[in-house]
Amino acid sequence: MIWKTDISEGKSLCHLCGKLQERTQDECLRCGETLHQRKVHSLVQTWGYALAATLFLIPANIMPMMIVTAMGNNEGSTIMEGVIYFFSHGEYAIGGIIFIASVAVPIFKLAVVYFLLLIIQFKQFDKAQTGLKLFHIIHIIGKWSMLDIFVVALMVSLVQFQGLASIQTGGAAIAFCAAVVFTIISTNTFDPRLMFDINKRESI
Amino acid sequence: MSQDAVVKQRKSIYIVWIIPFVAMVIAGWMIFKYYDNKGYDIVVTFNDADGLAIGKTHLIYQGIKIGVVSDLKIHHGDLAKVDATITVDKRAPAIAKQGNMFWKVVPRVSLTEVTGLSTILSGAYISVMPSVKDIDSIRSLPAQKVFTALNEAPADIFVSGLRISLDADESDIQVGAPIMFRKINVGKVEEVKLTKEGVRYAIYIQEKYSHLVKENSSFWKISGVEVRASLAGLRVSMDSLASVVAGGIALNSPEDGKVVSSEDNLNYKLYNAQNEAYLDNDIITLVSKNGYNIDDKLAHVYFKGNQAGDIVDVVYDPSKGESTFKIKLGKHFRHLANKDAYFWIVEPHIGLMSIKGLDAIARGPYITFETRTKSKKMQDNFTLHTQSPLIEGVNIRLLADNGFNLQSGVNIVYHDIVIGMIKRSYISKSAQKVVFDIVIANKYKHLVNDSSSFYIQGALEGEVSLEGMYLNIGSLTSMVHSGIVLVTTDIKAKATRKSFDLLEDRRVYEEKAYVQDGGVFIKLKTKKLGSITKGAPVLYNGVPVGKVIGYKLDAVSGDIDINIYIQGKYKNMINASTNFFNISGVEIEAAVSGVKVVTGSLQSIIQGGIAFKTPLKKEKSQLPKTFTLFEDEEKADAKYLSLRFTTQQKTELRVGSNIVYKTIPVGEITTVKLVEDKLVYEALLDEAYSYLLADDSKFWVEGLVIDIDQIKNPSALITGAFVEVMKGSSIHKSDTFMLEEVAPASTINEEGLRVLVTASKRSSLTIGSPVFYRQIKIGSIEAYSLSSDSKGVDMRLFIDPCYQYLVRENSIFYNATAIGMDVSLFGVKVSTETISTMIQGGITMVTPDEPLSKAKPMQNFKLYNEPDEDWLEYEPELLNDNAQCQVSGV
Repeated sequence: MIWKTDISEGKSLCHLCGKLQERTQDECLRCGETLHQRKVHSLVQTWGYALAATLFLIPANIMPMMIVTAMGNNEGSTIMEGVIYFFSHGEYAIGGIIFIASVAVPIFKLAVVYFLLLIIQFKQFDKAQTGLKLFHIIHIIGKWSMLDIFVVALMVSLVQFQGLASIQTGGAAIAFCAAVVFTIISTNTFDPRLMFDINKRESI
Repeated sequence: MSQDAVVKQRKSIYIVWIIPFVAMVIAGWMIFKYYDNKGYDIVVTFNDADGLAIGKTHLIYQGIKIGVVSDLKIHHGDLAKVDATITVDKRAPAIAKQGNMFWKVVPRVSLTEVTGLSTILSGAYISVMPSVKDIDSIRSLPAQKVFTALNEAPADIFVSGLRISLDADESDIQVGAPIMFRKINVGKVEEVKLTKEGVRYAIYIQEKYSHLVKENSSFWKISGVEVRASLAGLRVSMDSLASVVAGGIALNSPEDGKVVSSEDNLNYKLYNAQNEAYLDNDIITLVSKNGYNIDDKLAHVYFKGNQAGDIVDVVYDPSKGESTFKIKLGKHFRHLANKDAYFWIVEPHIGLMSIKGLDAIARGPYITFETRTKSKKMQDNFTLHTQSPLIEGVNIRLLADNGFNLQSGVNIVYHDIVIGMIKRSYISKSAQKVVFDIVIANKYKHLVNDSSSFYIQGALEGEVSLEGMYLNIGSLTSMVHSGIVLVTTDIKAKATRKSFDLLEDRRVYEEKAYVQDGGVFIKLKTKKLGSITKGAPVLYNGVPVGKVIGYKLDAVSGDIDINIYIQGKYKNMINASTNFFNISGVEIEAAVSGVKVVTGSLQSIIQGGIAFKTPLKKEKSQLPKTFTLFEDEEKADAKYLSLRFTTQQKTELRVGSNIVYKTIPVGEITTVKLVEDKLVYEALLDEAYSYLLADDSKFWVEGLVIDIDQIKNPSALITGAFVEVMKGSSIHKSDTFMLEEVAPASTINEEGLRVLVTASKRSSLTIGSPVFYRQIKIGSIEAYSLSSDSKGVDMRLFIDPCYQYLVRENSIFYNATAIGMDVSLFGVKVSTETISTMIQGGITMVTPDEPLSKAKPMQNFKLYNEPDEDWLEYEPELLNDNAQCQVSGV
């Protein structure tokens, strides 16, 4: 698969203003920003953030996401417990949403990021098209993982009936937030054009 | 050698790797912390897992969550128990130490405590309490991981206080029951344990009250609600609501006594009731031949009405036919059961008229005792009698017409103090009377003497009279008991009588007493009773001096005989001249000048009344058998008329001198006055003789006259002078008279012939001097006066109508006074008519032989001083033509 890349054409895109120009420039002709062919340290950053996100996902799933104090009884539930809870109570919709948003999507995202990183690493250029599609998907839905946090935040702020029922965030919430944030950052730092760089890899 | 520069890429360590690194650290730390905080596990065994949930049930100490149940399993050894694995927070100090106590906290709502309510909402939790207070000693305790939970919360070790154990026979007090000190809750029962002898209660007294417990304190059970019912009232008392349900224990400590401290081993006996705590330990045995309906649980022993002990046991021995009562007396009363003590049983006794032992109805029959001496010698074996102890004293007998439902045991009271009682009653042999044998206690026997009276006191005595209403309710006991009252009027009287009459009630006694003060009974007669009733007063000037005792109708005459009694001190106001009149009702006198309304006292209006007046205070004659009761005052007053005498002369008359008519006293001089140099006598004349008051009646003073031929008015020697009255014939009445100087002639108003004679001098002739015909008195001189020409004395002669025919126109009158004395040689010849003419003088009349016609009234004759001789020879024949005359003698 030979395709034309910006490198092969000798063009470079300013990451700031988007002007396509010769790659010989150091600075953009339009905005003056330093021209980078590819995102700076894209791979390593993406690896870093993806690992961070992965690491944070561990406590996010082990520690309780939400501590419900109902009638003096503290109950911490992790994400999965919450999902199971909703499912067991017949709330399939909510349960489904939380599962998708809090469990499936983050894992999916990370999986995709790893996949992308790995195909670059292993120069699996045939998978580049697929990877690109996947990248677009996770890029878009990335932020929606915060849905679960949003639910927790809403619950915490709404269910504050002292003594009767009150909800507090557990440790997992922070971890989960971090995880989601890092996945977003990681998708941001990832330069998908790297998947198409057959010949050389520019490491800037 | 030159080579191409080898461009080596420096392997740089990107800063970005810090982020995952940090992330790893944070994540790792979070997870680490998470698990680290979970702490250590302990296992606590519970009886059941009610309320325990994995992950939810917490271990809470002093309100802090220090752990959570992480696992529940069935106990491996005992299938009936459950193991709870509790993951204890690391920070919790020394939970896994020996001696720590765990228990499940569940909501417990009872009357004694309300706890753990928060667990209703939050669910049960597990609580823990170390066995010692001090943190260091806790730390030094050996570790322990497996515990057995308690069934209920142990005593809070941190709440200091006094822990005492009490021994009792029965466990009717629950855990949590309050300990009361004078109705303040000072602690509670923590634990109930059964021991060999009975029950042991572990109680806890709060620290701030622990000083109330002393070495000689006593504890007893409070029985929830205490009802004490007696005739004096009903009393319901409760200590606390909690004690009603859970029972309670009361504590009391004497003023003295050492306060206990918690180091002492504190063990007390728990009594069943308050007084048990004060019971002396001696058991006193009472033996009786009768069985009684005594509930030994409820009945008490009393001493003079005070609860003195309890009956501990009652046993009946059929072989001996005896009941044996075992009693215990209070410590203060024990010494009273000495060798002279007398125990008896009080049972309620209700008769129709007397109720005894009424308090026993409410209490049930009870045992009471008394002792007469202060002997210190104690005894613990007595006979139980049925009768209250007999009083020692004097025996008296009372007689009554009726049994009055009085029974033995009825009290005799004197001024409301019981001084004796009826021993027995029976009917006398003659079946006429009921005899009561009574006994008066020795110390009161001086109260009974000859002046004593006994009457029955009814429950309620009332008397409504116009003097007021009098209601006497005896004491409540007398209302039920009824009694006999002793009244002694003279405490110094002799005491010889042993037998008295029993009067029916107080009124009978009062009536009897009323008439015993030496007064006098008087009978009155009247035609109309009016409104006089029995008991109506007899008044004198408005003051009651006596009473109407009674009245009866005389069937024969139709009159009413009233019997009245005048009190001793007033009886002197009654004499023969007393007039009684009826003052019942109202007197109204209506005249042109106005209307006068006179009433006696209010009482007399309703009850009637009799008043009297005694006009002649000095009347000394005997009281008549019956007085007349006049209809009203006026009629009584009318009995006497007042009159007045005036005279210039001095008389012997004084106040009280009588007025006499034909020897009968008809009046009395009431006052003597000097008015303008004239003596004025006022007198009262009996109404019956009002006819004497003709304006020509003559009144003169008579006194004692001693004469040759008579003694006149011998009684005047003693009674003094009196006024004699000669009735006049005028129809006009007068009430003022002049007292005559000289008594008028007695013939003055008689029918007869009156002639006048004229004498030269009066000689010894006076009013009343006789006129003789042949020495028979035919008349007397009625009056005399100096003749009009002052030459002689005119005398008016009264000739008895039967001898009128003797007086002729030519009759001759001569003074016979002169004593004819013939002194001659032949002797002295004294001739006189009568001896009295020697003193009194007299006139002799002769009529010549040829009598002329009868003399005319008031014909005038001459009175010769002495007779001619030939007059003495006259012997005319005269015939009496007055058919009405009887010739005396032949």
